[in-house]
Amino acid sequence: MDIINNLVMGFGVAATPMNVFYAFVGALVGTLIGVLPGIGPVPTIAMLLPLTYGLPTVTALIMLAGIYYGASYGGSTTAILVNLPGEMSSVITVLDGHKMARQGRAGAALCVAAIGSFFAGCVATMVIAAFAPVLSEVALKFDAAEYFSLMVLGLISAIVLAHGSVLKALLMTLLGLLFGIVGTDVTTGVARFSFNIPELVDGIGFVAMTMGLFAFAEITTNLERTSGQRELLAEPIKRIWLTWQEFKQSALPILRGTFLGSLLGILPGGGATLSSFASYTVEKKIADDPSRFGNGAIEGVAGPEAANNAGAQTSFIPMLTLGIPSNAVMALMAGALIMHDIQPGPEIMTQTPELFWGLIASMWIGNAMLIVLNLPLIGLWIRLLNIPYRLLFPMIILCCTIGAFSSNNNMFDVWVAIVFGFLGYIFAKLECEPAPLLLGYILGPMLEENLRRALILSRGEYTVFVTRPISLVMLLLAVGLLILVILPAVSKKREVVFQEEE
Amino acid sequence: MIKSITIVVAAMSCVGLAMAQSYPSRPIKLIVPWPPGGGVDTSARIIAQPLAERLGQPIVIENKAGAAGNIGTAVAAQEKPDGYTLLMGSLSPNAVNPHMYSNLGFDPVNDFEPIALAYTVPCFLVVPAASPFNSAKEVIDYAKANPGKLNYGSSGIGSSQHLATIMLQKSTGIDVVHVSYKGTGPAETALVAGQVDFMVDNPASFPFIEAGRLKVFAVGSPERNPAKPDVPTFDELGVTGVHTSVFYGLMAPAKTPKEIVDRLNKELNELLQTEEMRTRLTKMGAVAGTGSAEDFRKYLISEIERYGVIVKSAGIKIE
Repeated sequence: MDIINNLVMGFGVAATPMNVFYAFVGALVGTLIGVLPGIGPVPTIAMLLPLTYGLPTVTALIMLAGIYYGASYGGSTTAILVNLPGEMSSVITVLDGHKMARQGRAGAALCVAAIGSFFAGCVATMVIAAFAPVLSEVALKFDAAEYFSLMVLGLISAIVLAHGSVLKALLMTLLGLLFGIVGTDVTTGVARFSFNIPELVDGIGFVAMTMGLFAFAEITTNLERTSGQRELLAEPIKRIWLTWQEFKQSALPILRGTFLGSLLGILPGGGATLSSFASYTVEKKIADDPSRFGNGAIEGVAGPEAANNAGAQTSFIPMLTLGIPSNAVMALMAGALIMHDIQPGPEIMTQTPELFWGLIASMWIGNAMLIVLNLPLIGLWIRLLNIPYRLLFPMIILCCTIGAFSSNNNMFDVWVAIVFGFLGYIFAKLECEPAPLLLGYILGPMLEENLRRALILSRGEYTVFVTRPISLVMLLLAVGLLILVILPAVSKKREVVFQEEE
Repeated sequence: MIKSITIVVAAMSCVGLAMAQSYPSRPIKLIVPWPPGGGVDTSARIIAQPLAERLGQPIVIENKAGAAGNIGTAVAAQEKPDGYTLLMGSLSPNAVNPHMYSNLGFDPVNDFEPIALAYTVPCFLVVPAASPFNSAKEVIDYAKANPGKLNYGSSGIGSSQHLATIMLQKSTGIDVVHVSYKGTGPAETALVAGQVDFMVDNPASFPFIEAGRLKVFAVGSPERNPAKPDVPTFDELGVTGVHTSVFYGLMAPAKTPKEIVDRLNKELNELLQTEEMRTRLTKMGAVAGTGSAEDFRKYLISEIERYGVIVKSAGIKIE
């Protein structure tokens, strides 16, 4: 068996005391910056990059990779505890994770996130080891038309995210689409709605926007209440661990999330982002009682967290097999490779197999580190919530401001965060959820870009979306989902009608 | 009176000399007007570390990204000209953007003191491995016979790939359709997958060529590239005027003392001549820069003029 041999070689490379140590350091640093709201893996890796020059290539990559998935895991902790998603993938975790925390189940939420991420990470790593070359070819089958249809599917699932009014969710998604329009149009190069402000040429920054919508808005709404009513957590924490019942509820969502995440993660540009949304949509749709979602359903944490982590792992595939960085972190890692005189590209696997397999083996080690590190830390994180608000709130604001600033090292992003803080406060008053807005904001520009690109390539022929099989399947799924969303509403209306007739 | 002026002047030149001798006495900030990762950031990181060792002071890279490099470049233009803030200059913000943006925030010529050209990387005509074409001539002949049929990719409007293809179009009269992507990565993915027919791409595509996923037909520089000595230049093929090299160079805010500029120029040039640097650059398809700060200024001005003609003829305007 080739894979077994390769993995043995990989573990031979990765399991040296030095590499295990750096995997641990990476995971620790990653978790810490992930927990700090707003400070993401990109500035951290950029900052630490010079430190890795002196290290052997494999060791450097192992540490950087550790930071990457450590940060994505640490981000969930903040999302659950203080209702603050540090990155796109944890926007979903906020929905039910923070509700669980408010019900005194923060421990269970953190625990299921850790276990889900660990399981998904292990499986996704296996997927990379076994199928990376094949899967990268699948990713190449995705042309503009396919991406467009995938985005349509993603947008429709945004409606499912709503746990209150469908109309409000729809409007928030539309608003997100509008915010997404700001910036340079990829097809024509024209800067739209930039009002001659250079910073707006690149669009509205995601980090700044989230910090405003979530952190600033949340804190403002809380300050409005008198001190007795202020709540991040309404109820005291009961347990740190999962109950058997919760464990059983999470098992299948974790499995499904892992599958979805592994699959979507291979698509460069948006795949990994969509995976946690996709998982949430699936879980809510197949649940016996969908109304629990948005009110602290453990499945709504388990599935998306697994999907998110699986996607984070498999997003290494395009990078490792084709040398194409699928996100900013990957671009930095590609840069790190060049620094070490290795050209990232399709030949990494054959020319430097010890690097390729060493990195894969280190993913396992890194995931194991994360769970070893984080399960005992859960108790500590929860205790953070006992910090008095007069200390906690300024701390959160400070971190968010640094985070917004450091995304481009520019004050402009801090102003953006403040503006969105006001908006977020208004949304909170109107009981509108910010999550669909963020989805619209992320997917809208990609949807438009790919629609126009597909039409340029087809010379204006709209039939491309249905004549290409992958695209057709996704559009059919989207229609199916739409029907599923509308049907209960229709049947409910009919019930009402019948009741009136009686 | 005259005497006192002389003294002041003498004192001032002494200060200047002393400054250059003690320079650098504290860490130097190198502004990269792009996000971490990617060409300009990589170029800065490649030279920053060994240059810092030579200068005996750390060089701290500060990424100030946004508006195709304009934001960070404008910030660098406003910094104190004391040699402790430098800019990693490159093709887009320093030579192309001035023709595309109305609110640049800096003057590409008068706001900067060019220090030294670090290196240039030329563009290459590449097609997917499965493409029926086997030479640049076949691509051009087909495009001539079938106007508007071939698609070419680029990393965006006004990118080096886009402008190089416009030069190719002007030179040969072919009519091809531009498909713009968000960055080089997605554009190359589309090319490897055969979703577009060709691209005049920078050496980021080398690994694909070596792996047999892309075929390379021509290089857009006056001389052949040391990394690909078998690939003919466009000029050799009778296609004139297709010269696009992305350049990376060290710059300082205008009025930075000449002593400091010359010192940095000398150190960078010596660094570029080291064996280690040469092999690394050649591997990347890069051609090390040589020459004085004045040579770099002349190069910059001629690039600004050349791209002005191309951008105007293509009618590109961002804002």
